[in-house]
Amino acid sequence: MSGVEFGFLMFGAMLVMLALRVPIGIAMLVTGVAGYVTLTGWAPLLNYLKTAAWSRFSVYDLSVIPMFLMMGQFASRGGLSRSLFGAANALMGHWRGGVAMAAVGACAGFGAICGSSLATAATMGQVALPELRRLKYQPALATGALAAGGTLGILIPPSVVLVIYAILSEQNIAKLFMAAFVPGILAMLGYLAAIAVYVRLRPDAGPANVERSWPERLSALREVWPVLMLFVVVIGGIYGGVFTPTEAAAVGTVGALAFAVWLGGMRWRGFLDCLAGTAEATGMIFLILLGADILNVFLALTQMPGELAAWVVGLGLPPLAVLAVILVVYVVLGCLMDSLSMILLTIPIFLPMIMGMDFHGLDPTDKAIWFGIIALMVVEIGLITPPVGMNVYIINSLARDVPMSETFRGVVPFLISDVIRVALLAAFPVLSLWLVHLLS
Amino acid sequence: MAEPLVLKHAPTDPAGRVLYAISRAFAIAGGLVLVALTIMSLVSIAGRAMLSMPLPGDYELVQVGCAIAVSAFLPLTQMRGGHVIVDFFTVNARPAVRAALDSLGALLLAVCAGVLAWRLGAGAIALEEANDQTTILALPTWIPVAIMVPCFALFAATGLHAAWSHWSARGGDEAPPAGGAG
Amino acid sequence: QEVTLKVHHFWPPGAMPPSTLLVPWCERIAKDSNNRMKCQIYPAMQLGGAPPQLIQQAMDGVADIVWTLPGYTAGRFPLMEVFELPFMSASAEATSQAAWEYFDKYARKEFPGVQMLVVNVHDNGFVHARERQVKVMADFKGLKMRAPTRQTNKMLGALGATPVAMPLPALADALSKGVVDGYLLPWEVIPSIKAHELTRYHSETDPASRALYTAVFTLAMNQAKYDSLPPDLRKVIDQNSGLAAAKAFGRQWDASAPPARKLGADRGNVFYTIPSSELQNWQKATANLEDEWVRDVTAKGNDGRMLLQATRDLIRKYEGAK
Ligand code: NA
Ligand code: NA
Repeated sequence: MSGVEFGFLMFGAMLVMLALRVPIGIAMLVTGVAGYVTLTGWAPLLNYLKTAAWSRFSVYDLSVIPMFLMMGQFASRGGLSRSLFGAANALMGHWRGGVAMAAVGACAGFGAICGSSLATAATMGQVALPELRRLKYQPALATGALAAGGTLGILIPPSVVLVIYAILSEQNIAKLFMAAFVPGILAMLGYLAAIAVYVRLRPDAGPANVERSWPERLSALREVWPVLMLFVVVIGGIYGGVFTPTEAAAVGTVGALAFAVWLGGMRWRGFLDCLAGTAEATGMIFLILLGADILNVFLALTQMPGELAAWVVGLGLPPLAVLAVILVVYVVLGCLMDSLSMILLTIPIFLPMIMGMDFHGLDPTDKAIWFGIIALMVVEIGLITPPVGMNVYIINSLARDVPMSETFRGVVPFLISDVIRVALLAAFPVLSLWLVHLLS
Repeated sequence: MAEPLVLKHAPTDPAGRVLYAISRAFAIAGGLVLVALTIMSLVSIAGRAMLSMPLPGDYELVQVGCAIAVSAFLPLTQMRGGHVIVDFFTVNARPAVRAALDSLGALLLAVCAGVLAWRLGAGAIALEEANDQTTILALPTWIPVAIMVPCFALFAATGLHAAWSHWSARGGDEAPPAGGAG
Repeated sequence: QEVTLKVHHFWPPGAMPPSTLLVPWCERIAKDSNNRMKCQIYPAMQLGGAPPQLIQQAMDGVADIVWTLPGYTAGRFPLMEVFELPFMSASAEATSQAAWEYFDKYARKEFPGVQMLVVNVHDNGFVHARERQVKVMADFKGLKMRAPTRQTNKMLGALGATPVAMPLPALADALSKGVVDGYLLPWEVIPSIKAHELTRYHSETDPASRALYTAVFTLAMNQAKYDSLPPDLRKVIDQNSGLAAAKAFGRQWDASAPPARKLGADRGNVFYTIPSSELQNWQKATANLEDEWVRDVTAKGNDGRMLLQATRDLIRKYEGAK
């Protein structure tokens, strides 16, 4: 059996394990270990495992992940999510569908200081859902907007998935964050437009809130200053080149901690809860990272990624057709899996294919960045597609009376906007690369 | 008010409660390490900006501290059912079947964590014997690796506990919910 | 073909050192064995782990052959570290041969479990800065400089700079953001991270003097794997190891410097040669490092003084033999 065949066989075995509810990180780890032993024997494996976890967990660049997660914990403790929604609601709430728009806007604002999509969905869901329900928003629109809005947590930098992509593709994290900025804003605008169209077709779906006076609006806006400050320091610090991403995350975490104590009245108990919350979110990510690491070593031993890439490149297909196939694979996988596992599983295989082909005449660095942003956008779609959509689950658990199918129907307009945006990004790399070139 | 409360579930049996308490203590210790790293980074940045004197070895401290913190986080994640599974193919399976599969999955996790704990122990010994240290601060690397050993051992214990409680829940009601990534 | 050797290293696939040194070495192995023995090269740590663990991977058989720097795990190879003291090397070709002979005579015991194939050092390390030229020692004051190894960190401290340790791939970023003001590197490595585009001022040392620093590289093979080879294949490996191979590697390092330097010159960067008279001050300021090293290895049961002298003598011997 050739290396490629063996690689495929083990990949299949892993999918069976996944289907049988083995934790994703463990399924990857077991597959990697079994393949490694088959190809090299027990002794090298046992020696490799002596330092595998240490070398995976002590990567400097990865340290931004727990830090950004902790920053999100403190930020929501500090009531920053509430003040964001309050301000957005004061500005847009009186439009038809305006409170849903405010929820999306607040998600974008929170996404600018939080690296995770689930945390954004959960935090903003708790803040905005009661208001949407009080105003009798159609349940599908209310929950759909929040589930989709949650993905802005990842689409707008900082973003955990982009950190992982940066490491897998050996690209600069700061540049990837820059490249995600305009597409992230486009995502927010697309979601706002989706709501506008929706309430135009179904005028009773999103009733208008009472209009606020300008003094009220200004005072609501003033509440947002801690978010602005964190954003300027963290993202501005990274873009402006003052900090490395890890340093920016460290500064932002300490800042958010201060806000949580000062504005949110956080005390020891709440502090410990934040640490535990950070631990849980981080533990989940790093188990998958560890499993994927061992799996990818095995895949390297089979030579499968390189040979597969050479084969696909050798077919001489139009590059955009190959890209389209890859994106379809992502959408299908996204129905079943979480975004991080998808990136870890597929990038070592897909990236060499992309790098072996010509897209819009991009140089290798630009190409890797451009593809990373597209991949990010597509894997995030998986968070709101049936049957498994983590964001939909989270929002639904906050609105138990709304059937899951109702929420999945509610996300359809947002999915349409996602598809349009991905097509735009694939066709016009300048959308993601413009800011990178401007700031570098 | 903060988190995806929906994913939380804490064990109610005595062994589970003890494991949960220990896991939470590990996680909080790891969290404190992380907070210390952020403050250390802040001091280093301030030193660099104002005195042109960053803390020597700040990169190394972040690497070492991060490895310890992350390892200490794994058991709590397991106790709260936070490690992601794919439940698409088994959504309509009988609860007993799902519980049995979850028990098997948790057992597999326990075995993996146990093996990693054992190998990390061997790794710590090898690093100590080789006198391996970080470049600037000459911190012996066997120390953080040795600290990772109890973390993975506890992780294995939480896996065993989950395997046992899923197995005994085969006749009972809903299995605990799965977590998710993002 | 009968034997495939898993060769593991940390460079990105296209980098110059692996493509000018490692790939040709592998091609010779294939040719000399009539294609019965072949390398399968895994770049960029594809076989897992972090660069400091490479040497252990060769000892443990996780990889068959690794190409790495003993300096990544400085505490582990104190004897070999002597070549990384300031002002030892003047050319990679001579010092690589000296390093081989020194390894062969004195430092074999530091590498149990591996068959050493090639010991080599890189071309002369120079000072590169972003915003101003380093001409005299006082210019180091207030400069945040990235150094590659433990000894160079100490050296920078002794010269008055603030040493900053970071992995090589992080350097370009740190330079563009002013996290560091400069760095020590040999020419060969600079284009691989495009650092010549971020530093305008290059301070080279007088060719009459010894270089500021160099670093030792080792190409090492798992002992059991070596022993398992049939005698004729083992002979192929032997023919491509040892003193002659060290010389060839060293010469290639030296030869790679001018084209890399030209990339900086083509950008209009500013070059300065630090005269020997000034370098003597630097040497005085850093002499302490030698004493420290002697004390360190003597405490571990070696004759540090003798080893330091032997190193110097060996380097001169091969410089004379050119
Ligand atoms: Na974000
Ligand atoms: Na999905």
